[in-house]
Amino acid sequence: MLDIRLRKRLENFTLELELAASPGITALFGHSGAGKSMTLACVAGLTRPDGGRITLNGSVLFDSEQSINLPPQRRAVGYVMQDYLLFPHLSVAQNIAFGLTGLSRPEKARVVEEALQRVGLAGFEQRRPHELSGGQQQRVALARALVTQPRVLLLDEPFSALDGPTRALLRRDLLRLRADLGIPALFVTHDLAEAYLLADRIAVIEAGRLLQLGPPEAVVYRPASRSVAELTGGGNFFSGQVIAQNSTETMIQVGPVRLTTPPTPVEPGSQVELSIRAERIMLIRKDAPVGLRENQVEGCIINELTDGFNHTLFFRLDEGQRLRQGGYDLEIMLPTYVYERLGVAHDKRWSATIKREAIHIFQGGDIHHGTF
Amino acid sequence: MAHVDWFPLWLSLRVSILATALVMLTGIPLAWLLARHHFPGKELLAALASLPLVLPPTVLGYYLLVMLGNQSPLGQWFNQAGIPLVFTWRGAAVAASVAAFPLLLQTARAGFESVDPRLEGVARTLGRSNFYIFWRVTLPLAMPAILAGMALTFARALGDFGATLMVAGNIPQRTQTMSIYIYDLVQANKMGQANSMVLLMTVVAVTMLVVARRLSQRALR
Repeated sequence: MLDIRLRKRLENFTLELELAASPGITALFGHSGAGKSMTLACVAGLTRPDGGRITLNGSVLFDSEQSINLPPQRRAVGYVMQDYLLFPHLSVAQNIAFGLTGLSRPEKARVVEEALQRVGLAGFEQRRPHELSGGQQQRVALARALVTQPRVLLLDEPFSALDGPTRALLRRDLLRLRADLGIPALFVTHDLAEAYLLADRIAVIEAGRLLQLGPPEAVVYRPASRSVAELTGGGNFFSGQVIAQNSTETMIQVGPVRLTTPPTPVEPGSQVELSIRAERIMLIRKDAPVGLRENQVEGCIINELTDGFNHTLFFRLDEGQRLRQGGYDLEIMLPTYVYERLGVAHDKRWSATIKREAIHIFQGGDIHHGTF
Repeated sequence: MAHVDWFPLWLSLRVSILATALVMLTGIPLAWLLARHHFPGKELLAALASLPLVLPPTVLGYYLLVMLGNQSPLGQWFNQAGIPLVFTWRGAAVAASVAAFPLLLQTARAGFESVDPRLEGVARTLGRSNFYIFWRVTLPLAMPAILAGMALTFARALGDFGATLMVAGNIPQRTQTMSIYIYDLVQANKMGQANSMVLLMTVVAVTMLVVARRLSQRALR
């Protein structure tokens, strides 16, 4: 268990973070410059926080009050950085053996060979880092960190410098590794899909603060605040008033539209903020049996984008149903095959149904904790 | 062909080797200090260390003569230690090393600065001591630049005239280095001998320059 509580003044804000990471992968997710990499540097002991306390399995790595600041050498962390930082003048074998102390020559050679086999690079012992591809360098960096049997693994955007296919391959490798890792790993990324795929927990960090910590599906589908929802790609933000609330549903009035949402403990009459996930709004098939669907709205598509896999539709509701001024009211995301089956390319007027599960009412604000 | 006096060549090589060794011993640690540490007065120190580059060599030699002369405490200390410097070949080596010092300092500092500090950081997380990391990571990576600096230092020491003349004088068979010998030959109108010595020195200088270039290009890669 890795317990982090730290404060560090940075150029534009103060990093103020409290985070507990149990064995498994905890993704630190947020914009570049949010303080994620700085957190890793503090855990590794390469940067000294201004205050706080970091403990690993109960033993203190850093404590500003007790003036304890273990040097990196005594922290047993494995650190893999974005550009891998292999020692350019050393061979692959020498790189991996760098942290192996107290072993005889043949023992070292055996450990290196096993490590290379594990990462699929057997026979690469004598290569130099510059003779390896980015993906191979990354595997060597990982092997170099793991042979020292670290008690915590720090991965600082290990995939961001790789091309798409290599990245997909190495992500799968890391997933396999995750199964028998047995130690806490902090994984810095600004790629939500990557965090969702690899992490047991996602810590959403913005401007030096922890906004939410939870399993991937909680962070993405039940964001604690609008800031989290914005970071995790939830579009369609509205504020409304609670009309009714019972054990089966909650009714919210948003402008002229009344939305039914899953039951949420909110006070009738109070103002709430909510988000509607773009991929959970359905266009209703023209040949579907007649009948009113839940949260049905009418309108037309005024603009659209596609990345090849999905189509993002900008949907303007009819007068009398408008949720916003000007522009569009809802962002709707359709997989390309649905887009094609419905024939959206030639038909821009649609009825849509907002699945109640698509609507998420923000319950708490952002997590704020006091100074320490 | 007239009789060739090889003494000045051997003396020059001896002086340059000792001067280069002196510069290495003092310049490499200082270069590392300037590249890796912050302390008050750091840039002032760096500027002072570069002073020999801009001072006229005779002025530099004069300062050294005053500092190392028989009247100064430092000069007396060296005399008592049995290694008098003024008007000896060792004095010539000290003068040449001071004149050449900035060349090594600046290239070596750039060499240390070109080593990514994060490499040292990763090495520390791998559990190795700072001492081990310096010898295994920092120094080898800065080495091409240091070697290039050494080649330049050697060439500069080989060619020193003014500072050497002030400190060591011009005593044939004792402190007369190549540069000074060539001057004497020209003064005495022995142009034949002067030509061969000039050619020899040019070859040595060009060789050192090529070596230095090779090494610094390796450092850039």
